[in-house]
Amino acid sequence: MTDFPLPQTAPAYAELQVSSNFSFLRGASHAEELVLMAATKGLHAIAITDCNTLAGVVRGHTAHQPHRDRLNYIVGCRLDPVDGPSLLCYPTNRTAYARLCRLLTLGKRRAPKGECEIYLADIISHADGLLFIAVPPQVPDDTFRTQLIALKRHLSGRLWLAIGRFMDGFDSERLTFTEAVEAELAIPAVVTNDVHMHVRSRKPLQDVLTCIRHHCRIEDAGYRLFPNGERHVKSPQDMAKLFPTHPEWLARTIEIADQCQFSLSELRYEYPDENDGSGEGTQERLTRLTWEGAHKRYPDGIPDKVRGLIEAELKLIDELGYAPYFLTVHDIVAFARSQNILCQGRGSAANSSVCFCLHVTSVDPAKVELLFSRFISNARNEPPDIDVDFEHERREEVIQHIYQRYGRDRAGLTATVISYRSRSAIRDVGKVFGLPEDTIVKLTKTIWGSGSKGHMMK
Amino acid sequence: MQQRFLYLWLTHWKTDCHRIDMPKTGDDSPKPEPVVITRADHKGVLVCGSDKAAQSRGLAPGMRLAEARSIYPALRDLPEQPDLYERHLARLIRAMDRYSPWVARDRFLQETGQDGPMDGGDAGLWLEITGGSHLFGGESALLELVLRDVKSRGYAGRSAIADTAGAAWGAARCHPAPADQRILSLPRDHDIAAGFPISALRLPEQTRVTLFRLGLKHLGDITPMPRANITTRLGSEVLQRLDQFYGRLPEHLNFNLPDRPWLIRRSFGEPLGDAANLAIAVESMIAELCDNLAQENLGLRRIILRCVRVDGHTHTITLGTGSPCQSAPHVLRLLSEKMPGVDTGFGIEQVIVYAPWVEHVAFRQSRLDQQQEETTDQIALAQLIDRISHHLGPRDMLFHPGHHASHLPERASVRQAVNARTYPARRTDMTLPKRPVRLIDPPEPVEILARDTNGTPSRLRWRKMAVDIIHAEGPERICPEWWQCLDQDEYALSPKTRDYFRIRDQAGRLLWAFRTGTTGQDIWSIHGLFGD
Repeated sequence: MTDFPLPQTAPAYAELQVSSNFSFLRGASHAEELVLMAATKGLHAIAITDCNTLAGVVRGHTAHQPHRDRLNYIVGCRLDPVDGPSLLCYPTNRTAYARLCRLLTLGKRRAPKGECEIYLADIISHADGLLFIAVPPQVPDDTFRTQLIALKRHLSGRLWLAIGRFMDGFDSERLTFTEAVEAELAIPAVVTNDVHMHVRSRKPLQDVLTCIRHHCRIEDAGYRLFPNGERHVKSPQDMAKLFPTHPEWLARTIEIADQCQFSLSELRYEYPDENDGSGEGTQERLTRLTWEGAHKRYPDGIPDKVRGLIEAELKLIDELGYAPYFLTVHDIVAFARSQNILCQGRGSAANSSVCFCLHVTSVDPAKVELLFSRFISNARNEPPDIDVDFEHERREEVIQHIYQRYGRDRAGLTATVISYRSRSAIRDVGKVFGLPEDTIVKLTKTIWGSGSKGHMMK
Repeated sequence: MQQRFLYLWLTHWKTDCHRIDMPKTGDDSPKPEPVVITRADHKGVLVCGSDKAAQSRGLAPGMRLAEARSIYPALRDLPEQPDLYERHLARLIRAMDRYSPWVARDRFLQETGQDGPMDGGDAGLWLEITGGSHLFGGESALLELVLRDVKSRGYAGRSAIADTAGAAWGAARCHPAPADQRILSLPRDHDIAAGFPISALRLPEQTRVTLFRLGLKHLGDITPMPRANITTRLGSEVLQRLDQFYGRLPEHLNFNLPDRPWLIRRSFGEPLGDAANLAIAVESMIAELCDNLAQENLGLRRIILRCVRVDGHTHTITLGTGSPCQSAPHVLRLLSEKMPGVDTGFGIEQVIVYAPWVEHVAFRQSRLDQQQEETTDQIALAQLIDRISHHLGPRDMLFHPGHHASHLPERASVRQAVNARTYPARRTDMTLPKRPVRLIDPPEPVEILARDTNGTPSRLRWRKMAVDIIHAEGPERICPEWWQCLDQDEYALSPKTRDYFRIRDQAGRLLWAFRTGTTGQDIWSIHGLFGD
């Protein structure tokens, strides 16, 4: 006999609040592990929502590809505004995704490196097509309630309230609060589990990360650690057991998940068409420039071997639509050469006679066997890659030229996400355990290589 | 007259102090286990003293404890107790009085080091014995006597006699002769001194290393060098120490003369025959002492009352206070509890009141409005603490519970020594889950008689009584601290993980119970009772 009627069908659940290790020093599992675990546990969907960043969603997306038929993957992000509660945010379509990216860029530009300064007003002005879940503090209070009322005014119909049972001693407070908010403010509640690790056994790592974040030793960390390992990926059955009285809260996760139809697969390179306004198509222009270059390279006549290569390559470039890319590189290199800035191209697509003719590279296809078609082909669904190295002292001139030509809002420097390398990881973990400096140094010296896959010698 | 100094180097000072204070374990084991003294700093736990057994295994002060442990896992470590060493040193200085009234402690050992005191767990004393050694049968006999005395007190030591404080310091460490021959008279023993290593000079570690790297390993290597060159390369300290060694530069030692004798001695022509008269005498003496102290803005931390009877028998009462005290009524009140123990016998002919330990009293401005001050309460509290702790005995009997940040309820409170000036650590302003004020220690297992649908008990037997549960709230899951238990793989849902419930019984009590173990084999225990 049970007091509560069990749901007729098997419960379904989508995990909408997941911090991967791209929430630096918070999440203890890789996005890949989280997605795989979600698929194993039979979740309807999983959203990677890292703190003020979308950096983790790409890894999750890649890991999700083999499980597309069983699991939905939601791109999301946790926004921590300066003047409001944390909000989980999910774009429903591509334009909303673009707005979210713009919002994050705005916040990150305002703040020093590594931080993000977003205000509720920014979020509201970028909110079109985004769904939001407000994350309550551990113990919801009146301040949070007031903030919810304000949010509700602007985000009505797109705002939910997260509720989780973390078994931290405040479950009943949160439950009461959530029920009251549902009844009085008409903000629907939705279950999340604030996932920080894919399995319970990651708790030690999670604790160590927390200590590194707070610069303290593990014995002194106290309440800064989670009391238990409940914030892991749980199966729909387990989640349903936690909320026997509110199956609708679980069902809403599915609702939200199904509204989020955006996938990273929709994103493609959007290349500026390199038309110069003369009415000449990009492919025609590339062909013309290539042959012109070829005549300059081989003033005594183009060798037959090279002629054949050029024809084959141009055909392939036409098929794949890469002509604008080659023209861009050509344009930049031409600018550099006109300013007498030294440059040299390399990369997979650079191993081509076209690049030789365009003066991007200096490897003569007549003398050296080039492997262009090995790297660029229909079979490999990869964009072409030409790296151009510039004289470092005058690199800035080239950068400014690119900004001028394409506009500051369209050209950018690549950003990297800083991650732990083995040595610094060992160093920080050693500090958490209170190891002496000398021992840490000795330990770090046993790491071979500097990469993230550095091997520890026994 | 040529001055003569005796330097006594207490090589394993800190460990010796601990060993002396440790209760005797009957038989002295032939092979003493290595012991190190540790101090926690921001980087971890530092070894700041080691005994002979530890040093012979390469466990030297300056190491980290974890490092020392990796060399000798079964290492015994004791936390540093500066006041213990201070007490022992003060006692030893008093004992050394019999060889010379001029005893100075070696402060160099405590001063060196870049970050904080980097002492090696040793200590040292200078005795100025100029013109006094013949009383003990010559310098060689004196050396032997001092060493034997120190050894009988349980301290390991090396000592030497030389013309200057610096030379005696160096000779005690580096003189190659046997213990009673370590005597240096400089013009004569110049060759011996020249053979001393650089470590015979009181130089910081870094300077010593630099000198060593330059190939200057002995005193004889430095002395012939042009002085200007040394100063430019190494700073003035090397020359200063060298000159002090050879007596070219005077050195000031802080001899341990009593600062100001906080002592009042009163002799009575007519012996005091009864307790009432004694009490009157003591009262006036204490009042005078406290008055003297108050003028210097000092307060006593310890007072010794010594009553000498006509038959030569003395009765001594020693009292301590938790904070510097200059209130005569309070001291008298503490004393009055012990005074009945004094047997006047045939009469007391002399009473001595002595405050061996005084401290500065923080000056407090009185309030303009003549209101009751908070500080008055504080003084009253301090006095109360003194009285209670004198009743109870050792000071650590009295403690107050303080808060410690830990999810585990047992570890969330610690005993803190009571001191009127420090308050117990409180729970931070963070919102923390509800906890009962008192825990039942150890938790009491209960028998489950009936269960609810979700597995929580609806009826249980606790303390042989059946308890009906009307409501259970929870769980609050608390994991064991994985860095303390090593079964890490399954720790997060190990049998040690507890699910706490607040359960209300029919009688209205709110119990704090937890469940451990796996499903089906779960054990329930009561861990506390909420007050509401």
